[in-house]
Amino acid sequence: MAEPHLEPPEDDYVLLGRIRTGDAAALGVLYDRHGPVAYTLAKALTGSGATAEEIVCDAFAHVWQSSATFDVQRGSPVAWLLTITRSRALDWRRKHNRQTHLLEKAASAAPDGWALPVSSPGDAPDRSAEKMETRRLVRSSLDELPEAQRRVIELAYFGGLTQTEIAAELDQPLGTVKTRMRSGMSKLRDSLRFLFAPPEP
Amino acid sequence: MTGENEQSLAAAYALDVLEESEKAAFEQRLAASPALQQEVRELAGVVELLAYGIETATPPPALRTRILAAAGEERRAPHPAPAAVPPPRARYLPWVAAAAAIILSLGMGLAFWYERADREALETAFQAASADRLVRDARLAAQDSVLAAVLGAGVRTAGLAAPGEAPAARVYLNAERQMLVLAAHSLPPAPPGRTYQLWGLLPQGEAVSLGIFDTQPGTGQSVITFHLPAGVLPGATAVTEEPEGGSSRPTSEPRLSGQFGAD
Repeated sequence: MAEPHLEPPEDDYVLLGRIRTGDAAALGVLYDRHGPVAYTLAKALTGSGATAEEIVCDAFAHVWQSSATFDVQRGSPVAWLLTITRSRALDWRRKHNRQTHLLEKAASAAPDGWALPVSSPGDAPDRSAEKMETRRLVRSSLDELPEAQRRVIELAYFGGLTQTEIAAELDQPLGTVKTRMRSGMSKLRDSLRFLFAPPEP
Repeated sequence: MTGENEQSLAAAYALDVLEESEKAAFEQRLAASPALQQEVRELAGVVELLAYGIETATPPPALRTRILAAAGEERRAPHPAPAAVPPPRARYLPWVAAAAAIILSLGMGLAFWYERADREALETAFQAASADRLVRDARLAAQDSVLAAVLGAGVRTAGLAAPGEAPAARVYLNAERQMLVLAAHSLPPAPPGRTYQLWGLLPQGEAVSLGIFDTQPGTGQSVITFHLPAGVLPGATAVTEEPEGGSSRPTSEPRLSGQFGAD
């Protein structure tokens, strides 16, 4: 027998529901929660604050206009927002031919960190304990990856490079790149799994 | 289980760097494999989190204003009648949103009222509930859940009434989330030692227990969320009074019942 019980919070889903009804206040709340990380991502990918603003503005406009197309099967609302943001930022880079410069930067990064400057929680605009803990866990999980695996993931994530392109960039066999991407992602999944356990439908 | 090659493709797919030539074939296999879907969902979760590994940049305050201004203008702009299919929810969502706003902001006493009110009055009521208040309310997890269930796509609703009487409760059935929300507004609490039990009535005439509940003394109000067992999609629901702890099958005539409408 099913006992009546209360669901865990699903705030972002609720917000999207309200956004679907044309509730702009809900869009504001979504921005307060996830605008900073979207901006962070766009700025890291494009290297430009002004461009990041454009991209985040576009991404939220897309959420506002296309909330009805959000597919709950494919991930959380914030995953959707970040996918849109990253995809637009990578498009911008391809268009502006910034690939080489940033790849050099990624490839020459210090071995003990995410190629781009690492998070310092003290500077975080969103200081909620939960987000700081998320940052800490993501950082330490990345730190624990073998450098070669992390590098492959960086090139894919920041560079938008395919496995073939990464193999050419690093002058390594395609099979090696595939194995490293698979192993690295699999390790990250294992160490971060509990952070993104999706709500059971 | 997925093989190593599949896992490598899944990782590239989640990172959105799969070659175009491989993408279509992978998506076909993805559609056919729940294990692969689970894999991609988890890897997409990792990709989402990677953004939190970057040093935080602070957006200028003007960005928020700009985003909201753009949204406001877009809403005010007259929508040309699109040739494409209009969003399926547009037709009834204002109604559902209004119902949700009323439930959250004004209390259950009004749940009955909106049955007779026209949509215009409902939308006015919705506007009247201030955005701030909705935001505050939405932070409460339990209410979030109720709102999510009530706002979902394809929600069906039914008034629960004793024969010949006005409804004492209303149920919202969200098949997608397998959730059912019962909002009682004038149902006195069950007598001592007794409880109310909600039943889903299946098309073949079977009654499935959805759970037990009670209402608040004095007001006769309550909002309760039930989970539908897998595969159970009732066409109607009924409330019986049962011994404390509930029964495995109804032991009395329904106190209230109601059939789901099409909308």
